[in-house]
Amino acid sequence: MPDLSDGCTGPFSRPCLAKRARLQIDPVSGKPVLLSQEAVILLNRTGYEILEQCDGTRSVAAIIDGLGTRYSIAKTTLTQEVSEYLEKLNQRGLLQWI
Amino acid sequence: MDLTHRPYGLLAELTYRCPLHCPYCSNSVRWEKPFELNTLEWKKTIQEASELGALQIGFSGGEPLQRTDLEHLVQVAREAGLYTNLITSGIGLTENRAARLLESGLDNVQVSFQAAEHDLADRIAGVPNAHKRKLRAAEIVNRVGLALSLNVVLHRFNIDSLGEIIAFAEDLGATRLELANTQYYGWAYRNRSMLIPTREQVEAAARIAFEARHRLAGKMKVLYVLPDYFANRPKPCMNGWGQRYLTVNPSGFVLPCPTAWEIPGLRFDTVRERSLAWIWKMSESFNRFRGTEWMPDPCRSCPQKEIDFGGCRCQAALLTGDPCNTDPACEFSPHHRLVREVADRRADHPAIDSFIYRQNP
Repeated sequence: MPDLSDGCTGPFSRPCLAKRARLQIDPVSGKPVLLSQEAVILLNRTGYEILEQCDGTRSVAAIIDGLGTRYSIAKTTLTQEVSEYLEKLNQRGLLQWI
Repeated sequence: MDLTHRPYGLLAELTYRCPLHCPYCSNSVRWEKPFELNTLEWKKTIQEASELGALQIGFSGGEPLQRTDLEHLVQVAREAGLYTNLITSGIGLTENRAARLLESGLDNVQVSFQAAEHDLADRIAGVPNAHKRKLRAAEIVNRVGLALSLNVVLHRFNIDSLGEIIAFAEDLGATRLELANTQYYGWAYRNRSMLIPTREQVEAAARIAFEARHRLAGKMKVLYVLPDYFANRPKPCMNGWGQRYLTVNPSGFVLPCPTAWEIPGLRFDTVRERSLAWIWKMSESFNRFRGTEWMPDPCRSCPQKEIDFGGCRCQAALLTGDPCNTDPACEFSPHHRLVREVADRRADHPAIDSFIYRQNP
């Protein structure tokens, strides 16, 4: 598990969407979007699956394990990609940590 | 539907009534008392915007809390699947109303502040005790559990205390801070010689904002909106005319940009007479500056034209008298000196109370 600088995105912390962000399906395209005051972020399927699990009850490690059962990707790759993805959204202030 | 060509955001200007008199208000200076859309008309407009593809709505004004149907309209927007944001001065926000707004599904509240310090803030707002009431509103937003975002318009009287403003926003528990240098339209244009900062002030502020953005990443999102007058290239205004956004003003006129009302000779349509879809797709006003065909040189032959779309039509009209001209903020504009010279013609030591304050309809 990569050691992330501020510690809040470590493997055992539980992410959830920031109060100011909302996940939904775009009725026009049928695709998932992450909405906030300043942005409409179009998500791919994996991004949506990660964010769907960010409900404050699952740890980053649990989210990775869950995805591991659905995708045949090496654990180290999956760990790195999920961590980077969450960190990117964290930097944009779209996540909070329980 | 073409996904690249839909209104993602609707700015709903519910009313131009406002308890404040900020001298940089972006509302039109040429506004008569509006005959405001009623609840049903707004409801229809919001639903039509959603059908056109809108995903976000900003309830703005004036002061949108002046409308007693605000909670109902928030609920309508949420049911239509829109991300809902309230853009408010905070004046008039009671605990009861905040709780009702939360219940209606409001996603975010953006409260404006004029400064971090109350005496300066009240003098800018032109209303005694405005700052104190805003502080109370921000506390209420936090207490009921709504997301709080702050907006501070920057100018020569408050830009030097940017560090204090950022600390103030942190203390209030804001999740987002928008530091917006004054854009010189409407009332701000009338007060330009008093409001415009020096290049040194703007650059020092940019450094402070940049540092804060990194320091506070993940805690509070910090946005610093650069002032046009100190840039070499224009901003990609509204991401292109009639491409991403639409504004509906209190009387139901639909505008490609909130300040487009100021452009002389442009005729706008209202939701009282036409569907939003017709206005978005077919109206003269939305098609007037769509794409790049309308552009004269130097924009027409410029490789940047798909990046900045020739800048802001309102600014071109305001400064050069012709909305077709290249935005004078661009260094390639033959009118660029109009922007360059402004900074040299600042008022010397203006008294803060000598603003031309925003009048209310």
